[in-house]
Amino acid sequence: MFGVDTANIKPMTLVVGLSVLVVMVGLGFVLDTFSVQVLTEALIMSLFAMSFALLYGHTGLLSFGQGAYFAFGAYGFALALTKLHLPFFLCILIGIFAAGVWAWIMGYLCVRLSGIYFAIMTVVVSQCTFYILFQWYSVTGGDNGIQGLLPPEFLVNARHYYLFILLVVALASAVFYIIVNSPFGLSLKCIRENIVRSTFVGIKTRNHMHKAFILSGLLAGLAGILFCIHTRSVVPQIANWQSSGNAVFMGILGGASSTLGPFLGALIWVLLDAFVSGYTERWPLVIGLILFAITFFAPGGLMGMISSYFTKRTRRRITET
Amino acid sequence: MDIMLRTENLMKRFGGVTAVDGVDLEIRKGEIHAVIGPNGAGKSTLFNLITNYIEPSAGKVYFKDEDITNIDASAICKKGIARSFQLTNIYPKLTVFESVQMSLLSHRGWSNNLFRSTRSLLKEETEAIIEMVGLKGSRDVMGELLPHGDKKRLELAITLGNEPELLLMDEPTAGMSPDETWQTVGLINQLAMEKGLTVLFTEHDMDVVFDIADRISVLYYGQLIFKGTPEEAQGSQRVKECYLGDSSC
Repeated sequence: MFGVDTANIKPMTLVVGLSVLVVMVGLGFVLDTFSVQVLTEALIMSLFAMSFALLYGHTGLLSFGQGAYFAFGAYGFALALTKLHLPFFLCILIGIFAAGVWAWIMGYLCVRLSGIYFAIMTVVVSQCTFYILFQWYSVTGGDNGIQGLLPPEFLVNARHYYLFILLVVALASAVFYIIVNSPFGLSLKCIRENIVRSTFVGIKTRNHMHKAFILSGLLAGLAGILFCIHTRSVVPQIANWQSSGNAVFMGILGGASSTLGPFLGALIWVLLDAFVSGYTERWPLVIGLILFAITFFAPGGLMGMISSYFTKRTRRRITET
Repeated sequence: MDIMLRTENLMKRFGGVTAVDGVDLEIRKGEIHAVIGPNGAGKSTLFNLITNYIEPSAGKVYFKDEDITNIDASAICKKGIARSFQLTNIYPKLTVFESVQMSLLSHRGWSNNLFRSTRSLLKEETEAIIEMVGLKGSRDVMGELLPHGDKKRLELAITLGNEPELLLMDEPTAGMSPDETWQTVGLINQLAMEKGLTVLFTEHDMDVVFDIADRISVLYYGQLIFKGTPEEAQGSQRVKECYLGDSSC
């Protein structure tokens, strides 16, 4: 069951993936430090966007509460590191585990609802998580958060941390790709397309949605951990609805159903954050306008727009010949 | 005679209306069985009760002598009952191949696997079913882009992917042209013969019913008023009064 048959991964995907990886490694050496840090954040955020994409783009569940698992991962890691003084990499595992457990419990409740009620429930969970972290001073440090989350010496340098993140994100994306192309991944698409039909071909729909919810929580948790190491601190605001909204924005912008969509969405979002915020403090307005345009003119996101362009072109070519 | 499916005093009330009223149905192994009746007789509700899409108010459903009245709809499917719906129920944005492959994967216990690629998994079996229903040329077309008749055929293929012993079809030829209707009838006959399938279907087209049904049950306002062969149905005064004689039904 755990035997991954690599022979069936499209050679094209493998070539593109590896070329991108090589270029990204190269960028880590030639760019200035600030740009490297921007790219690091883009990579981390692409995991966050992926966690949203797994639920929305692949399973059809609109989650407005990804911030909860992002924060649970980050706080799990930060507490294990600063209070328990455990080894760095063990703390990362603890953070991921914490996010997974929280997603397991909350997912159990959320997948019992559907449509708008599911979406509202995810926001509620996200806000509850925020208030727990915000008000439980003795443990979480309240609105001060937790500072001084230093990685081991060999990762302190921004370029080294970038390469480390690149490795983690590459591995996580490979696992993500394998999962969405597995029988389980197909069952999620069936649930997205027609939940009644899925039930009547024998898929335990609620159980599968719950599993997708947990997987998505693990991904968001990993993103949260890497993010708080990147900023050296963690604050409760990463759990609230605005933080969750960032995942939605990145996912929808890039295209939540495609493999590359979350990367594209995260990259654009981080670039906007880094460069437009230098020109105007009203940069969220720019994001609003972009989202407005995307939902109106390209409901499939940027990747959806690109792939529909290619489908149309091929179709035209077929009809011409 | 082996009984495949049996309902016992099956009943469903919606508020003050009794849609299915104490139905004792008996489907024998290997037969093609039609449930007919005027609009609103409770045919679709009966199907929904058998597959536990809705819960019965009273009564029992037995599949091969096992009580399946209150088990989960997805578990009923695993036991060997597959169904199609009156309003075509497919996956709009999945290809024909993916749609049928999912049923096979689910039936063979693959649906929880996270690590195998679906690209070649059960490929021959999936393609055999697609070819059988005559959709070979549309293998990679998305469900929503198929013409109506082909969508019905795709739904049939999806149900066949579950390798059922009992196939429930709610109006399999609704909205089809006469040509498509007879193709579908031929297909159902062929399936019943080749795969030893037991088929339970509802149908408005009486020509279709009398052509392929081995036995007929007639529903009238939720009650089962007749069980027997098509010839007996045509001879029955009661059936004529309630249904057959009145062409406006």
